[in-house]
Amino acid sequence: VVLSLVPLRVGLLLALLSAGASRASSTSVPPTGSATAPSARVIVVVGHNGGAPDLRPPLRYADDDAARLYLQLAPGSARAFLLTTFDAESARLYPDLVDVARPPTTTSLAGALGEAFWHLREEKDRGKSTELVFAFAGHGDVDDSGRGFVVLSDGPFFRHDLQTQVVRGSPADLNHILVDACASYYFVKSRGGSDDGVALTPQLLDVLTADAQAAPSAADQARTGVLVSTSSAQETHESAALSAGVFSYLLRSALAGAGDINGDGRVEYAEAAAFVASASQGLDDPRARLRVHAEAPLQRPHAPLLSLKDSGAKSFLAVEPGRPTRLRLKDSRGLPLVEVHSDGAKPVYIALSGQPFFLVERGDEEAILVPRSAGAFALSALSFAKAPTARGDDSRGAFAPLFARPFSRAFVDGYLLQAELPPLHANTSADVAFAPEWAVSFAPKSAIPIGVVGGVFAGGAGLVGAGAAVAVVMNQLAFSTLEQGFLQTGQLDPAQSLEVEGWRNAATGLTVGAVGLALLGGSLIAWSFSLEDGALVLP
Amino acid sequence: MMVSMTSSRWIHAALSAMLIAALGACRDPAELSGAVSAVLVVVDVDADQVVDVDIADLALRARPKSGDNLVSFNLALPAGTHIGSVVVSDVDDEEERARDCGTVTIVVPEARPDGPVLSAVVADELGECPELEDDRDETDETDEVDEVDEVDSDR
Repeated sequence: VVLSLVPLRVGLLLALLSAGASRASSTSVPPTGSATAPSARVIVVVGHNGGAPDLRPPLRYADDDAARLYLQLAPGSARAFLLTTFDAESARLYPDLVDVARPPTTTSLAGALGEAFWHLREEKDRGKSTELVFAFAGHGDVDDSGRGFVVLSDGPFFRHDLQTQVVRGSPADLNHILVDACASYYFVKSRGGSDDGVALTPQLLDVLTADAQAAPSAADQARTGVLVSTSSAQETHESAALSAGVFSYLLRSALAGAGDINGDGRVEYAEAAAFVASASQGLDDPRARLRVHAEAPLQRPHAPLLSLKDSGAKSFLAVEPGRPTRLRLKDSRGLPLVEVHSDGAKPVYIALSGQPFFLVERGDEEAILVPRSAGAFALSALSFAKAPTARGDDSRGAFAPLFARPFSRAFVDGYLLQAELPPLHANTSADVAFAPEWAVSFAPKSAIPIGVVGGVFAGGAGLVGAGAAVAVVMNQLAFSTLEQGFLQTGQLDPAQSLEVEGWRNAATGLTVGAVGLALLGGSLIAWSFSLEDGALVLP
Repeated sequence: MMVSMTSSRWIHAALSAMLIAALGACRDPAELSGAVSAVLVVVDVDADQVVDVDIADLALRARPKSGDNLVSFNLALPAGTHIGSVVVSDVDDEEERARDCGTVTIVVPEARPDGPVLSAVVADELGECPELEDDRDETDETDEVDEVDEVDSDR
């Protein structure tokens, strides 16, 4: 009985909380900044695989994650800095970035931050609102005194350093701190027999958490948001099939637009965190589960991590609503870029930037998307063909269940209740919905709803059939009158005969019409069952 | 597929039955004209006259159409010899006076390859109705229309 009551009580609590959240969302004001001028953004992206002299086994994709996030965010920013050292493989993949990237050292980071702050001040002097995005991908850990840190090539960069050098030093109106840290070292030590380690939790890297040495001021807390993920081991932090760190891959997908659950073209902290949670909820391996911590800036809880409108992307892949759609975008090198599992409730727009073409995979079929013009490219307008080889998720290993379930508004609302994040704005009316113009010749294809047309024909058959029945009754009445006159006078009244004939002909014609319409309508309805969505898509 | 084929047949059969039922339920004037075995034409009938024919089980009554001086009766008589009566009455202000009376004999053969048997009666060649003579005398003398009605009724 006790066990059965627990879910009931939890359900009641959720219902009450949900009601409160609904009230909160219904009384909240529209997001500021959605209609105002875009903020001037400066991004600093750091990625470090690790390696000697660091004892931790080097990561493979931290540099790739940094490069991809840089490519994703840089087009919409006033200034962008990339700090990473590409391994040989990544250097071949990103030749244009090799010369752009600075070394991921504390010194280089201090220099980049100095330049970034100078740019931010300049923008502020011009009267613009400013934002700093600081992102890190690589190793993280906890020292003997319990301090969380991330690993740069010349040593640790503590949370204290993040607080003082990044958050406190930043002149930006808003700071966004994104950290994807792999805490493999602790677990390596644990396997070696030492059990005095402390697991790296996302909170240990949260720059907003009180720190004995450098507690963030209320003002810094108010203007700073964090999205931190930590994973327990390297083998569960990265996926060779994704060629990326798993959290970075999910975050990239969310920021590309897949996380925009309310369709306003802005991916907020709440949406990004909920997207990551939704995409990874099917993971069975507890080691593979992501530990994500999200806090939106108190001053601007609905501040977007990325606004599609201001992202610099000119082209978008439009996943039309109507049915759940799961697809994966790969870049021109064939590497997974973005993944989507839409529940079909709203259109989803995926920003297309930084690549000459994209490979869109949907089930066992794929299409090439070349964004030659600006605008939205409807998924239904792409020419899909059977993939030459199976594109299953088997190679993902423990991460095969990623995106197993569609990302839905119901999930987001439930997630936000337990994550203590602000509810999303309920305001998703057409005036704030993000809906770019269709790209030339890539508007959704016209479709004839065969089932509906069949239904109309069947309904018409019913009406015509009713008309035929009326005609039959009228024929009987007219004949009755004719017969009565004939029996009284021995004469067939020509006018009455014509009336009988007329009703008879009408009944015949209407019956034939009704039968024809019924056959046609029935055939169309039967045909519609064999069509996708019951509609015939015109070429 | 088997199910859809079977369903398709049922639907086709149902619709065909609907078509047949609708057409079968309709009546055709030919049903009446096709049963006519004899046509009796009474000529020399004035516009203000009405003709009554009583033959077999049929009691018919008709006036000439506008512009015509004849009345034709389509009779659905069985094969055989039928003797009936023909009465031509004057109609004046809703009053009727039987004027010419006579009999007509119509022979309907079993086979009628040429269609209905045609019989013609000339109204003026019919004899005057006996009752009418009395009535006329009385009418001339007393101008009592009721008695004519009675005679007509008796007849």
